[in-house]
Amino acid sequence: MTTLPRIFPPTSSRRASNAHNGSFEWFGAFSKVTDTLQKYQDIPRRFQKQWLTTFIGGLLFVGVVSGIYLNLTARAGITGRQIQELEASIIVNQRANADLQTKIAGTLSKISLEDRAVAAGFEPVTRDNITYLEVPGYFPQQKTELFSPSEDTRLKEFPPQYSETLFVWLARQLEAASTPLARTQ
Amino acid sequence: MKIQFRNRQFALATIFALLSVTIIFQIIRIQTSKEAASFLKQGKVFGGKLDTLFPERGQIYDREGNMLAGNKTVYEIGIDLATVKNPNTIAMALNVTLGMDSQKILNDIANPPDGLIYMVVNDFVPSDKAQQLIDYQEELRNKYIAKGDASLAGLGFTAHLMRSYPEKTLASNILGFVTLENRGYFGVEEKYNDLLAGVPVTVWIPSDPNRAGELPKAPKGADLVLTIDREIQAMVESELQKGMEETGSSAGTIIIMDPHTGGILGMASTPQMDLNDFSKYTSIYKNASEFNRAVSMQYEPGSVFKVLTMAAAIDQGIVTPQSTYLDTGFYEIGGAYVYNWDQGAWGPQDMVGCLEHSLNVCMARLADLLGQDTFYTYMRRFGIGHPTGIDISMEANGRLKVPGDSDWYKVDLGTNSFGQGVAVSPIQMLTAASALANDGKMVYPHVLYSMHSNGGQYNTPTQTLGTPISPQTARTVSDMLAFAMEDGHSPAGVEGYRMAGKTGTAQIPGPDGFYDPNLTNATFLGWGPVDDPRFMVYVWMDRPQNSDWAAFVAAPIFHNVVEKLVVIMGIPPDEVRNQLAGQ
Repeated sequence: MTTLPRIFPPTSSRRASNAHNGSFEWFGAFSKVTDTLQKYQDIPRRFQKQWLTTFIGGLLFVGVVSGIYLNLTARAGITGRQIQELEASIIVNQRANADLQTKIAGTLSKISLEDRAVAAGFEPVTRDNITYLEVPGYFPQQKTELFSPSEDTRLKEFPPQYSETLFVWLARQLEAASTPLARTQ
Repeated sequence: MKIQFRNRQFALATIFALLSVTIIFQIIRIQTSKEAASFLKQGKVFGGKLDTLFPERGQIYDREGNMLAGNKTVYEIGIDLATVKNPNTIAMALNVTLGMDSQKILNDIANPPDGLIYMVVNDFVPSDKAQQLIDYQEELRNKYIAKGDASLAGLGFTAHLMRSYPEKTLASNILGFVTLENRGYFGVEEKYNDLLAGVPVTVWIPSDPNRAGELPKAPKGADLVLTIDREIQAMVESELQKGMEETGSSAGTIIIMDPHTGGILGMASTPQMDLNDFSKYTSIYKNASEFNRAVSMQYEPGSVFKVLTMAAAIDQGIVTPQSTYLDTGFYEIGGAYVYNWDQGAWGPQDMVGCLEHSLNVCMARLADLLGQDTFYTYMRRFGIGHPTGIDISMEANGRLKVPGDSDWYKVDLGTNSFGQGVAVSPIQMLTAASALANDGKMVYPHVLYSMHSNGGQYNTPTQTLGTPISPQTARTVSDMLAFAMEDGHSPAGVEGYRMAGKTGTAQIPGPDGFYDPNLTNATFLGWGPVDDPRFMVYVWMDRPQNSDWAAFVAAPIFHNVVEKLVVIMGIPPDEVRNQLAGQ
């Protein structure tokens, strides 16, 4: 069995001296390291190899996990940045859409269309030059629907909040509060 | 040899241990140092920004989906003081493009307030002007790089939306306008401001890309679809303008309403304004109630009020259309005398004649027969003296003096019966009369057809404000009025269409409280076709100059409006309609 040369005084004596000198504290830590190394040297070589292998294996595992973690977080970060850019693009596009809708409305405004119709030689129809005919199977549109029918589009009446009075609302809230909760199993 | 290696091992271990300890020590020292707190604070500041997100204001459409109010892009222009390279170029560019004071800009750049790093110099700049500056900035940037020439570096552009009205003056009295602070004033813009504006959200927006999912959303304000028909609205405004010119009236109003639903199809009021230039409001209107006279202005309606008195009398069974009386030209009530409009005696008259000749004596007699309690109960049922609740801001209450009020006298029962001494707004009078055109049911007048929010459409249901008279009474009075129009060859009539209507001429009280003999209000209220009313039209011309009488002022305007209205609404003449119905 081999031993490392002792170049520092025993731990107990160093601790006593540290009490008087704070700057000497790190030597204590260093001494612990040397003690540990000393103990490592003292154990059988077979166990030394096992410890070393375990340590390196652990280090490798942590390294792989850290690598995967870094890769994932980096990709998440890039995707996040793309989302932020897309969100910004959406806002710009929404603004552009609103702007264009208003421009189209200006082009199709009553005055604009009337001017173009008159310039094209059209005249407003009068009561005298209308002939009414029955067209079987034709039903004029009765309601205005700005949304095309889809699963998300629901035709609803106003929710009560828009029409009820304060007292009706209060009564509804009280009724809701006094209604017993549904039984749960 | 082994000892030598051991020594080297020991030395290496010592070095690494020292390095590790030093690193750990440094890490702890940095984390707990005084500067760490300030760095942490800075990190939080630059880790995102606190911002208020203003949702896009909802759009407004007419019932056919034509946009009446939208949004357009404008720019806020500012200067990033740290990156300015040539203040003179910036000052000159802003002066030439936007007409700004270049000297002031130079001074502001040279002497900015303490701590200011970005200075806003202009806002709500039209996109074409801003684009000119952006293009010029880009052009100069290339030149600056190439030659070290003038530069617009530091000039910043932030786009945002602003209210815009593509139809300009059309329906301006109904819509109202939105100021630069995004607050609605008058009309629908004010009434539905909260719905249209949405809810501004003040939130922390993290710049950390890993928190991109936390980016807050500010949902757009609700879109509104109005009951207004753009074609009808334009026609009504055009006819009102023509009527104003022909009659020399100081102001006027026309309303068209669907008597079954209460939906307002058109509502014009003078004067109008280009809503895109709302800064002219103060020069156009003397007071707020002038913005939409149809809703906000109350006046003494005169003889159109007689339809309500007659309806009350018939509903009570006091008279029938055939009931007769002897018109002597005056009637004593409350110690005062009531005279006919021409001061004449009309002899034996039935109730149709009473309406046809608009006899005040007849009405005062009917009110007296009804009794004050019954008469005023009916008037309250008709909603006189109360706002209708129409969804347009600043509705006038009207005024109905009733027994018990300090300024009510018995003679008021007589004068109220023919529409004097009582104040109503045009929409109030039209709503009351809707009971006659809708089988006794008075409908809630409204301009909101539907609201669109979060992918859903919420329709305004038809609401009945009350049933002041029976369906039978409503039909009887309608027929009486239609007969009176036909028999009297009213200028309001339109060939081929049977309509019910009544003129109203009322004197206007002067500042001293006495009626001015030279100033009148001319009104016409009518609906049709009588057997299936599709529209109600209310015309009010204020202080006409061509004639004092509504029959010569308001009735022809009613005629012109209905002639065009039946075309736009596609209502065939009665004969054709009955033929088609019979097939």
